[in-house]
Amino acid sequence: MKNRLEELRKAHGMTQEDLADVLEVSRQTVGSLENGRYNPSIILAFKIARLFHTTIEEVFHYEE
Amino acid sequence: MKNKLRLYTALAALFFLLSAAAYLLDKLSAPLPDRWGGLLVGGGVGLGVFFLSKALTERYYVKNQKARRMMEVEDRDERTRTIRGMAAYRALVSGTPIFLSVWLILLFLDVPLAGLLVVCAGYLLNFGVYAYHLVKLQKEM
Repeated sequence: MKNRLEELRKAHGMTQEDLADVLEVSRQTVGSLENGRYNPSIILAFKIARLFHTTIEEVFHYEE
Repeated sequence: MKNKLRLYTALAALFFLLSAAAYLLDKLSAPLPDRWGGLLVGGGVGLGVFFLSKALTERYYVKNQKARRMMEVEDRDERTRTIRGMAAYRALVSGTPIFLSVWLILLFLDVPLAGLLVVCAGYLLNFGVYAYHLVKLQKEM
């Protein structure tokens, strides 16, 4: 699933490790999320959206 | 955490002592009955090494709290759990041909029926545990 996670993370001046610490996941998970190799659970998606003060749809783009 | 370190160290020492005692008894011409000697020496050393490695790991984490936190985060991480679950399932599925191969090898080695039945029971028990968790998780989720 395509997403704007890397763009939003960099806009907030965070490293992958910083983001991983805040979300309480591993840095590898953040990396996999950013390059679309792993799709987050709904709870993690909500956490990410709230962290960046936006909606899930603004972060993740679902394409059939 | 320090209690865990003490526990693992004590268990490692206990098992090493047990295996050393069994070995000495054997050398002093006071051998233990049949397979007990081998079980105590081999099993004791194996368990001793297992608990020693756990003690060394725990000691590392006591001295390095950052590494412990990273390990705990990694353990709870949803991607890690997903990967572990998928890997475990694939291991279970590939277990059947592996088990059959082992069973056939044992059969050709003329292993007694009791031995073959024990191996079968082990496989069925493993599958039973999988089925139990499958049903339980389907009800919970």
